[in-house]
Amino acid sequence: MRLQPKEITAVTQAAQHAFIPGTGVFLFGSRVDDAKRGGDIDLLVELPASLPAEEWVRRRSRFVTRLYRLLDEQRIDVVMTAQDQPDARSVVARAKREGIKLVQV
Amino acid sequence: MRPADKLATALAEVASHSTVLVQALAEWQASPATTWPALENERAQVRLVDQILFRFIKLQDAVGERLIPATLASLREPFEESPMRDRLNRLEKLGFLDVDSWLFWREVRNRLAHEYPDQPELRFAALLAAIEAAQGLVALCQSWRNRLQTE
Repeated sequence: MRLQPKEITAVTQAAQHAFIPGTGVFLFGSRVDDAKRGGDIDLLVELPASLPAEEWVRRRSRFVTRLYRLLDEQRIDVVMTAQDQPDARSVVARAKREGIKLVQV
Repeated sequence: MRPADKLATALAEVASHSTVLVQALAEWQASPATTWPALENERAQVRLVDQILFRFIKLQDAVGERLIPATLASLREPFEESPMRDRLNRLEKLGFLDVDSWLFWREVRNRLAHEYPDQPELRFAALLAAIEAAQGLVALCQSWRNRLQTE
């Protein structure tokens, strides 16, 4: 996994700021591959339960805005899913398959 | 270019985008769509939303790339070597902006490119958040101008 301790701390703080207990945050994509360099920070956020759409978008913004504050603006891709809803998106399946858990709120 | 000229140029660019954005936002508020499918069925509304988002992006660029450096230069603040975060923090201290709001608008903008395909409710919620962000950015530009006049 290619994240600095400072980046992991930032993800933890931002997740605690934005999400409710029971939420898990996983790193996936190129940053889980030690052989690669650079690349976006791809994060899967798994909520314990689905939220109304406005709340879903608001919490995602709050999370990324706090990451910008802590790490400066950079390419951060966040995919959100909810444990209580089926989610057939291939990106979610891939993220769950290769994801490394960073935070459990 | 002298700092005063740079600032005047930046303010003129900001004003040109703001003017169009304010009109487009007023038009949207007069009869906003209430769902994504309703929006997609109204070509005029789709064009209006495109205009709001385009001007929101252009206005953000004008502020970030021109108004921020021109303002700092006109106030004789050393900034040429400073990263963006230091510029933002300095301008927050000087009362021009709120860093969290600015970063939130950046996040909204960065997300516009790849937005929840096949999830119309989330797409619509994200669109409403972007429109709200555009309103906030317009208000920022107005207060920025007022503040410069009192400096």
